[in-house]
Amino acid sequence: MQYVSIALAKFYSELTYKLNFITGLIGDALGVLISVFVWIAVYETSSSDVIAGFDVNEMILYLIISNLGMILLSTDIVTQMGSFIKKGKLTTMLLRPYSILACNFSSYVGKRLVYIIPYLIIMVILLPSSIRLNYYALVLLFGIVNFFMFFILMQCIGNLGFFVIEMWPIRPLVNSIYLLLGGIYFPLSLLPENIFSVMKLTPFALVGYDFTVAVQNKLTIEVLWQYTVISVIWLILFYGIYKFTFKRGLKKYEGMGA
Amino acid sequence: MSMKLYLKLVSQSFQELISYRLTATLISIFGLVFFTAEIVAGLVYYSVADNLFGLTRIEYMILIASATTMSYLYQTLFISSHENLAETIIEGELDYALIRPVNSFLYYSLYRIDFPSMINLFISIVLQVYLLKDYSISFTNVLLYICLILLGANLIFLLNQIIITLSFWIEKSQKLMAVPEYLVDFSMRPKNIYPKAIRVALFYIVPILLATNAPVLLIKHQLSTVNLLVLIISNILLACLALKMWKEGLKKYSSSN
Repeated sequence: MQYVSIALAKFYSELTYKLNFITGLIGDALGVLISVFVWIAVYETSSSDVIAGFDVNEMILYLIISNLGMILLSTDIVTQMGSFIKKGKLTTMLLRPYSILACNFSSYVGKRLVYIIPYLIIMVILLPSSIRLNYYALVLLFGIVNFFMFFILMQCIGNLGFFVIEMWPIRPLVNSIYLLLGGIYFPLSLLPENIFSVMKLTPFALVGYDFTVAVQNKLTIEVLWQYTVISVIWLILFYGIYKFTFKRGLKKYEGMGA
Repeated sequence: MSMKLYLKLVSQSFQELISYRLTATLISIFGLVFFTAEIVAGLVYYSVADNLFGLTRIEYMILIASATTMSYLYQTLFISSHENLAETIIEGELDYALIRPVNSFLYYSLYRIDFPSMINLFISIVLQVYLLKDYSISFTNVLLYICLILLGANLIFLLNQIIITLSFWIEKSQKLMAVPEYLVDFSMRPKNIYPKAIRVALFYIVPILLATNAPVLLIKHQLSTVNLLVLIISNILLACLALKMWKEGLKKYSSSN
């Protein structure tokens, strides 16, 4: 119950500062528009109607879904632990009778809730009508696993805060990697085959390119299962790394704040 | 503000660089990854056709490199100051500068240099020189090209300064502070991809798209005198606005330090 309260508190806090919230939405929309305008221009200039298996409408849909996904899976939290450590707030958190990981997760869900609901509605509207129910259920499962996996990945990187004083450059670095490996600017299938076959299995591709093409009904059930299993493997691996780095970090932690 | 004081601030920035080596390395890597992402995206776009958005592949790369140079020049000279300025205003910590016998606007604008961004600035300049080596550009145009980069960097500074100064009146505005960054990202693309209304707005009202596209337009001999005048006048007007807002903001400012 306490975790639900944390999530709700964060949700209301996001909505309290309306100007901040609306400006953020406009900024996010601009990011999506850049990619859409670029690709419309590419299709207008190109002699081919289909590029990398996408016609212009599918490409626009791809860009909207992948960019919205990046907004939903914000990398904000990557600096959160660093901030707790730097300010010494982690000491208070360690004394409280809750799991820090679960607390961070509820806080993350609460902050993203305002985006999750419209994201799901847009997904349902955009889903191809020919989609099968079992495929749809599997896409949903893949999306949920990805959400957990990405959260744990961010927590792993966030544990660098135990060892690094200034964490703020980490966030743009992670964002840049996400842009590059997640297929946010373009579908990864446009890359040479040997590069694509490796890149599509990275955590960023799973939450970006792979999930988007899954939503677009471009995968078989077998491939979708494979991606879901790979995402679970990443999740377990990152969880292990998180536990290990957190334990090592606590040994280094002085709790004085800076 | 005297040169002696500025050099002292630069020296302090360098000492911070030495103290925060890992942070500095990360900033450089982040810049490189971002730059790589832009270049790879460009290569992917041009794998579809040889001429897109009215630009050849090389011209597109020149646009990306010149716009990135403006952005890194801004980051090198001003980002460290701007990073903390909004918080300094909101938390009432301007007092320390206000009691000093210096111009507070200049002091806070030039408070720190971001050395890690200088590495990325250097890389983007080298890339530009490499891309431009096959073009025969007159000496006058080389000077004009450099002026356009400086005007663009100054425009990015002024937009950021104006938005940050709003902290005198608005609290909790992190997303608002990011608006210039959104605009710069939006403008790091060829002008031809945008609908006319957006193009006009970002060419003549907030001419950030004009600033980023101007160097490549110069290379293509498509930069008009009107374009150049708009850039110069907008820089002057925005500088006046930034100064005016700073003065008004200081009147509004209060703290209990």
